[in-house]
Amino acid sequence: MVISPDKGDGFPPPATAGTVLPPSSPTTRSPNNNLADSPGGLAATGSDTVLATAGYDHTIKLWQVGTALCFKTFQHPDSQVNDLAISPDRKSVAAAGFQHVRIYDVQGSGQSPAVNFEGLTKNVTCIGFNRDGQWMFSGGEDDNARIWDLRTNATQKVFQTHSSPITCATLHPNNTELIIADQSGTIHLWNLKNDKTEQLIPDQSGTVPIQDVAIDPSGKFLAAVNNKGDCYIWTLDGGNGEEIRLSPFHRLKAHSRYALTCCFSPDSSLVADLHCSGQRWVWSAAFTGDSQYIITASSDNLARLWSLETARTEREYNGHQKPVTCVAYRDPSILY
Amino acid sequence: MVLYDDKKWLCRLIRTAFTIEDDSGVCEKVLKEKPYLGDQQGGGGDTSSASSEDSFDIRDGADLGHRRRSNTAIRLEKLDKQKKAQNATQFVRITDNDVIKNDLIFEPNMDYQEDSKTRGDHVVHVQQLLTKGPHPDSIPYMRYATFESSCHPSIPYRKFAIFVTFLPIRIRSYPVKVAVVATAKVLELIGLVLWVISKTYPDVKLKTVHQYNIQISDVDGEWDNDFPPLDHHEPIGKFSFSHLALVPADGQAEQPKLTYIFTFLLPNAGELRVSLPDPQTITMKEALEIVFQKSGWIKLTGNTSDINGYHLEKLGHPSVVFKDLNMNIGETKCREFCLVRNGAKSVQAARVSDATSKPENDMPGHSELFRVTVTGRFNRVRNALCVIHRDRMELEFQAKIKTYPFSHISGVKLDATKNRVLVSLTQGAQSNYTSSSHLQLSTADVTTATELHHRLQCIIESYPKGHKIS
Repeated sequence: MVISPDKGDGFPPPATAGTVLPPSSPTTRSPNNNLADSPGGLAATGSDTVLATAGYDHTIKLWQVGTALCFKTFQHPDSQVNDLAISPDRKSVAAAGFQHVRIYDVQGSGQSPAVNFEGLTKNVTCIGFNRDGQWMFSGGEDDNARIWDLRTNATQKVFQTHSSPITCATLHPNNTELIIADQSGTIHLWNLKNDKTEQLIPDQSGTVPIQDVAIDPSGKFLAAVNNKGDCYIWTLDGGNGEEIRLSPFHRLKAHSRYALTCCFSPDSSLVADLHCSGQRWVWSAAFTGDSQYIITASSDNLARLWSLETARTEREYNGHQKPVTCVAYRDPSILY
Repeated sequence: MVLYDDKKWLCRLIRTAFTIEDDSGVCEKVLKEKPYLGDQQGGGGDTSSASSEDSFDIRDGADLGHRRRSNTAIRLEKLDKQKKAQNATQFVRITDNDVIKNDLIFEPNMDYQEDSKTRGDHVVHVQQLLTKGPHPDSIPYMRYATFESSCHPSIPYRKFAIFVTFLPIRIRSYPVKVAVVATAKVLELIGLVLWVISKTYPDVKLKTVHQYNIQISDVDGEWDNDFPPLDHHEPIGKFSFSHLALVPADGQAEQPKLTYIFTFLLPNAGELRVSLPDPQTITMKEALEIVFQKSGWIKLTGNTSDINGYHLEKLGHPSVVFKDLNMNIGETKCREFCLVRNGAKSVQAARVSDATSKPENDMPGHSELFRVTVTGRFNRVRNALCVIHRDRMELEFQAKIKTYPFSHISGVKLDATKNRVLVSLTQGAQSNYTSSSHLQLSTADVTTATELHHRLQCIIESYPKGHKIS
């Protein structure tokens, strides 16, 4: 479901399931973009847009957005892929799996990873790049969040939760605040510059694992979903050299049972959260840079491109042999 | 007594002996489609395995009943692949004892709010990507492209060379090579081949995948109609063929005609390869007609004496001569011939004689025979074979031979810039053979010209002085 965080009413009381889903708010776009003349996305896929999917079949696939053709498949042996991230220069794809993190060269010819970080003890559940692509963060079931220096391929910082596996993490656009959530239902705000941390527990009623957190690119909103189907949205103040302050903005019952992922559109107008639809899970989603489409990964072995305006499937990316659990999309307009 | 045309016996033999090892699927198909071939209606023998449905050997599915490779071989291959792949991967191992360097400087990005305002300059409009390219549904057979093995690096695959029988003749003999995942069905292999064809030969009109069949084929593209086509619903991994043929299901494909390649050594030492139909039905005279037409050695005028002026020798065996040109060429049990003009010495005989007379020469045939171009009067250019004997030089033209004894050659000169050898003739020779005082023998390259010059020079200098007329 897709909601618009344009108006807030504070957390209590929560909205009911089936909250009104406003269509995307059209924004004026500059027509002089680089891709205007690229035919069919074919040329664009090489450098301007990268769409990657991965899942239980131990492969990572890169797709042409327009023609839905898979033009590259990477091997991800020994484990499923838990999370995918594309570097800001769109030349690398990072995959989080069981006991390792792997980085693949998008422009290379091989199917094997360029770098394999191993020695981690449990599942790595989340991964991401900072804005300039010099370092990378990850979090896993070993209760550790790590900062990786991609220049030296070494761990630079480690943050430990208190015996609670990390489920998700996201980086604030200010490049110094990492927001980490765990299965105890705690959201940690880790200041990378001074190593100070703050904790936030959205649901005080008990231990409700947080499934995903997201920050909008403008740094104004923070969203989180838990496995009770609740979606929380806070407004963020400060952050621009100051300490971040969270204020409850919106709380809704996004789903009756479970919510898996939430993400903001690049224009910060929409937030999407995903859950199980019937017998098929929708595991992951990514907005396109123009905020007009969303790409989903689901258990029916397909990734789909949805038009937010018509709510119809525009493309199906068919090629995985098993459920698709991760999707990542990046184009030049997506900075964070 | 059991005959091989005893269907019941054959069926029982197939069921008990061949089904396990048969990777063609034909035995299984026969037993499924022809259950009466068992013992049920025979009224005798062992009836316990009459129906294929009851057979322990025959099962639907990919790998049941077929163990193609040992587990060890598969594991070793997997390890080998992993080892090769690891060479290109940089491994970074994290341990608990790692010293956290903590030397990254996390400079805060103070302009992130401005970034979100200016990002619109770089927005990629997905709508344009969708509309400018073809819709995936309009790309025929695209969904079958997913069965290509490169899309599934961790899944076993099979490689096939598939002859596409309905392509134009000039490209039909080159098979389409595909690597398909082993779990794909035959129908999906057909779709994948059609997808490749639609990309490679967009002008070829194709039908739906159900209108084609896959047949067992030989390496030369001839498919076997005696065997049924592969079942569309069978997994491709159970078949071990390397070559297959894609045939339209309506049977309109044209079976390629089998041809036989024959090699003929022409009198100028040039080789000509000719493909002939059934050698048991074509005579040597007809074969020679084709040779003359293709080589242009002589112009056939319809007069049988043109062809009858030649005979054939078995290449490498000058003593084996075929003079009866009405004999079928298949009866010679020979594929390589030497064309010899009646009354002339064959090229291979010259090679053999030179080889025996000069054993110290490493390449006797090549040193004594030179293909040259003779420039005559009015700059008339004729191709000839220059044969150097002990006492003479012969120029074999298309229809005649000119002989120049070395006693009539006064000297030779090399023109390396034009790959040419000038042979000076004596005055007596001029009156006998040519109106010019010298011959211009042009060769294909300077090496040949140098060799010819050197050979002639050596012979002339060693020739008795008294015989030379300067």
